[in-house]
Amino acid sequence: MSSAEITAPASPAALAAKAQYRRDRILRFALCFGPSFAYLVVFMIVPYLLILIFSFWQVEGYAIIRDLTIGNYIRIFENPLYWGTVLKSLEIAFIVTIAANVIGYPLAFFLVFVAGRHRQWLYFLIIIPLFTSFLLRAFIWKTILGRSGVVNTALEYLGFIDEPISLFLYNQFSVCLTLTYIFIPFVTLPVYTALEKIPKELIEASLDLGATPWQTVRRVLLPLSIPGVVAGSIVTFALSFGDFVTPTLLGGPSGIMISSIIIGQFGAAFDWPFGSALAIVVLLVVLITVVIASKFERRSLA
Amino acid sequence: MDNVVRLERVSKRFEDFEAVKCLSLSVARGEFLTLLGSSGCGKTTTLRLINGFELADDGEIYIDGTLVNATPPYRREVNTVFQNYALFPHLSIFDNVAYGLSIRGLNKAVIRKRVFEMLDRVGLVEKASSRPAQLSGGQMQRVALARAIINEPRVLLLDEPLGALDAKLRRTMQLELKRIHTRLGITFIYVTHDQEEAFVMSDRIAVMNDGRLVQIGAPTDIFERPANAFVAEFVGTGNFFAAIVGEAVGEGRRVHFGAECHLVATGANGFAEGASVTIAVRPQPVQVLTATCVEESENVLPGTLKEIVYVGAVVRLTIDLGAGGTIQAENLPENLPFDFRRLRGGDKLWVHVPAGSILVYGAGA
Repeated sequence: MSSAEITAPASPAALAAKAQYRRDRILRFALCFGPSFAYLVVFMIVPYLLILIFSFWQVEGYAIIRDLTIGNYIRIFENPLYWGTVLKSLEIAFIVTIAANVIGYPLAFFLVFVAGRHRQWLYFLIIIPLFTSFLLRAFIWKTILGRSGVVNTALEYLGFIDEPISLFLYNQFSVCLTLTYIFIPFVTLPVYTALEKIPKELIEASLDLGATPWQTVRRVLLPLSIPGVVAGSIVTFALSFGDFVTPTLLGGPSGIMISSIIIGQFGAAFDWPFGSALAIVVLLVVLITVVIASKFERRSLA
Repeated sequence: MDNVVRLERVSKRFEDFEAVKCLSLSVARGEFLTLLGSSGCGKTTTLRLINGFELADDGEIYIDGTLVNATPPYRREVNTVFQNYALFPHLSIFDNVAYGLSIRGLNKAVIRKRVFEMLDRVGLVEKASSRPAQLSGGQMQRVALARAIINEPRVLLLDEPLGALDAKLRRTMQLELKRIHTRLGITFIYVTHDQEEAFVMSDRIAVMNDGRLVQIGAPTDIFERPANAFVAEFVGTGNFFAAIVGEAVGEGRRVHFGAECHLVATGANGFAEGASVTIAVRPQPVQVLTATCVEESENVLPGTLKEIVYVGAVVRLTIDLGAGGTIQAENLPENLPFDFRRLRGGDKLWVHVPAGSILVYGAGA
């Protein structure tokens, strides 16, 4: 009996109001999120799916055979040129991440705890390079390390060498050096934010309990700034692993990285499926790194 | 006397602000000393000079007879309970309490035993593996205390440690702190702006104002014999009048204020006739009377009722004395010679101010 009351038909006016409310809500939703949603679908989801599908196709002659196969992936793991380059890119990304932290972390530490009233403009100095083109920042090292570059000229002038040496440029060293230079701010900024958030009283509590400044850094500041280190390291690692500009400009034959090979597949080699498979491998490596890093971060704070 | 902490003419200034001015202070071993004062009076700076987070500009600071002016905080055998607890958020409660011992490199088994003893003492054994964020304010407070006293410091410094707790919990913690102090026998230096808190716990109270020590003594001394008008006001003496000392009458001297307010004050004996003074009276001894019960005319002033507030245990009355200003009285309802519920603003009343309850301070004191 009471259930009959509950299921009694609503008045036509109430139904119309409800329908109107629903229409308004859909319209509002579309207005707010429509453009973002379209961006996500057109530029993220569809391209990733295309690359994934391409990676299982193959090229014969100049035609793409649309039969699903894992032949491209087998090719990557059979030919040391490919997996070797993946490994070398990993190695470079790893070296760059470590080096950027070694320089970037103390820099952030200095800004937060030592710089005092000079903090603002020093911070500004660090972010200024980010306003200029990535390409430019990589290119500038050509003029520093090249045969007639700053380093060679200086060494010649000082009499250490008789003629310019080409040791500095077009190798793994120049790639690592340039990428490290580029990514230091990417480590410094998140670490700066993490360190700045640490309440001053925690440092005082540590010193008060007998810990020396160094012990305080190791036991309080370092653990509490791990989130900043992880955030900076993920960006540095992922972007330097997949970088194309730096190895192309400064890598030479020995500084080649996986992105250069991928670009080659889409260009001269005209093997889009194989290029896609390489891209998927790069993507997976980055994803795995991110997962491991965030696990590590969670454990440090759990 | 056996002093654990001794400050000799210590001064500290920040930029253009002199936080502590030529302060001398001795703290006896095992005593509970409270630095009492309003914000900006220099009490926290004094504490930070003792634990080493501020460097004295002038004067000497001794801990256990050793000059520590240049000793960094981590080499001073004092520990601090910070205002907002300052627990390490990335460490468990166990690791927070163990921090000091672990820094000293003690054996793991020893640390474990002592930390659990300490957690047991503050009733937080089952929270050993929790994080500070999972604890309530009162529990964090106890962890902060445990983390400090486990190191058996020569002096424990407490910087308004109960400030963030609600009134009820604060009262419980006050008594708990006092018990811990009695049981451990460690010297406590406690900073607060809450005079009630100071009275509840302290062996001695040091009242500070404007970077100086104004009065130091047992709570009863501070309350009954405030050294000057500032201390009197700070410990809750509500009524102040600028007065002129008159002739000697009986056991005291007459003091005049307003046009026709005259009181006899025993405290005015030390002042010459004609001297300008400030007289102070706490609201509690001021007895409110009606016409029918005005027997003695000495020290009784006529007035009209301005405001009456019922605060539960007591009734607070503000009475207009005409040119003399207003006087506050706080009486128990049962001590009033009338039913206070029938009183209305503008009613004619009399107040009796006992001669012995009047504090007299010379001008400038």
